[in-house]
Amino acid sequence: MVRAWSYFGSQKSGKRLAFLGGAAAIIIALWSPFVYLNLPKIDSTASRTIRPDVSVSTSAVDEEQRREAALQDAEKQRRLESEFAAAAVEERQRPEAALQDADKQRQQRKTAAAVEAKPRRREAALKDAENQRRLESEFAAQGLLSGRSGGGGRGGASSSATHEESTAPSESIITCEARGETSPHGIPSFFPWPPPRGSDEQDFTKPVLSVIGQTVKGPVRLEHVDLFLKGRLQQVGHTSLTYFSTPHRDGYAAITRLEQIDETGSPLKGSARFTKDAAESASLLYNFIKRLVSLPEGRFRLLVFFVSADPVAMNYTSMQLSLKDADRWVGEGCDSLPAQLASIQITNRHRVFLRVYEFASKGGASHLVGKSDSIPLSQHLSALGLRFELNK
Amino acid sequence: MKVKTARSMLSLTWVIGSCVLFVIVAMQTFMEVYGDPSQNWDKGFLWIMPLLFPLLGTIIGSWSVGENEVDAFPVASMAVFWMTMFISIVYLAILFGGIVIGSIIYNHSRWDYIMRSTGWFLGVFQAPVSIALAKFFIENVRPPRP
Repeated sequence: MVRAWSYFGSQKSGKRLAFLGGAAAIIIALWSPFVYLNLPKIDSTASRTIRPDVSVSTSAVDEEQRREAALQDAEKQRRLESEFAAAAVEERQRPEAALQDADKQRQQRKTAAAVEAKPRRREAALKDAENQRRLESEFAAQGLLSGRSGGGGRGGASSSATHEESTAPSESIITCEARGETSPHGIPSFFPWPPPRGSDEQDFTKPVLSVIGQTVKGPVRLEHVDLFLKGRLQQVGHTSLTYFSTPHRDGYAAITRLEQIDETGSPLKGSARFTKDAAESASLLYNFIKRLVSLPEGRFRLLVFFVSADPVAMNYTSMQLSLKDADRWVGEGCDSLPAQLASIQITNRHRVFLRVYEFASKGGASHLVGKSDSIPLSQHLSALGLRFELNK
Repeated sequence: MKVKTARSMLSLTWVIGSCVLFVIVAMQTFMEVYGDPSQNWDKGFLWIMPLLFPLLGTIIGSWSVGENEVDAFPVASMAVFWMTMFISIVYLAILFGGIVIGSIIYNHSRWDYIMRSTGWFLGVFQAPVSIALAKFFIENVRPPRP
């Protein structure tokens, strides 16, 4: 053993050993980057994964699971809604048949109630009744049953406001004209409704309508408000908006792009403004060390304008918002306000309401900044340079 | 090249490389890049310690022996010395590479995978590195046979 050990250090065997060791080192050195980089495909937006199967369950994990479940529910809800919207178009062509079906189902429910003693039939009847109630509710939301006002029904926490003078085109699918798609794409309703609580909010109905009133002769329509808001936002760098309708189709929600801001509310300069990449300084070495030892952090702002007769400020949907939800909002919706919505006349119940959603992100995790910690809306607007008063 | 010079060069390579790695991992731990600090405060150290301490132990342990007569002898095979230096640098570079890729490319999101994979192949690679280092730091402290 000692002789073998000495052999490796001798002049004679040194070159051979050096060759073998060096070759092994080169192979491992070349192999390691492939091992590092050959990772499972991951979502670029989801960086830090919180594993649900960790035995020590944390509140963060639970919250993430709840949020994921809520998002899945939301997706399911939207899918159902689009199916019902498509069904509504079909049903509109034969409303009589729909009403007859509804009557038939109602009768079935009565029949089923009469045979309570038979549990299996009773269960079936109850299921039918449930289906019927759901259909009625959906039909009512589409305005297909006369004499009933829409109950909303989105997210299970809808506004219950009745509309005395609805001018909304609620009986048709409103399409996004500006999308340039071959098949018409219906404008989605803002989801969830009522919208979740933001970081701050303010009613700008008075200043906005007073400025518009000085230039528009005759009735003010949603298109006038849209033109005004779009013009003011373009002045501060927001050149594109995403539009949603309100559930009652009598108003709209316009969303700006997600922008990265600093701690004062001023948008970051250059390309960093509309990306989620952390802001970088001019020094490459500083950037490298910063990225090496710390998680990327950022502050983001999303402005949502609600021009609607629905009482946006009265109710909120309880929902833990994150940047993913903001991305979803920005990614959906129409690129411009559909003509059918644009032509709706502003009533005295319409409000121009601005809600700001401020997000803080660290690594892959993000959360909505609450009102107590967020930058006040007035500061957001002044940092952005956005004003709703008359330009002087 | 004398044995003493060769040992010093290898010692410096390992001590400086290891210190930089420890500082980076300590800063990453402090900045909570490995996740919830209440559960993952030791994650980085648990990864790097088994990969560095056995090798550092070999080197630092030999220092305690003190100067001996072989220090003044020329290295028996320069090829073996440079091979040892080379695989030492490769070993440390792979560790640095893991940290850089985990931080810059994956934004600190895949540390579990980085640590598990490096644990496998650096664990195996540790054996030849240990043999090569032992050649200089243990075998040479014995007086040469007559």
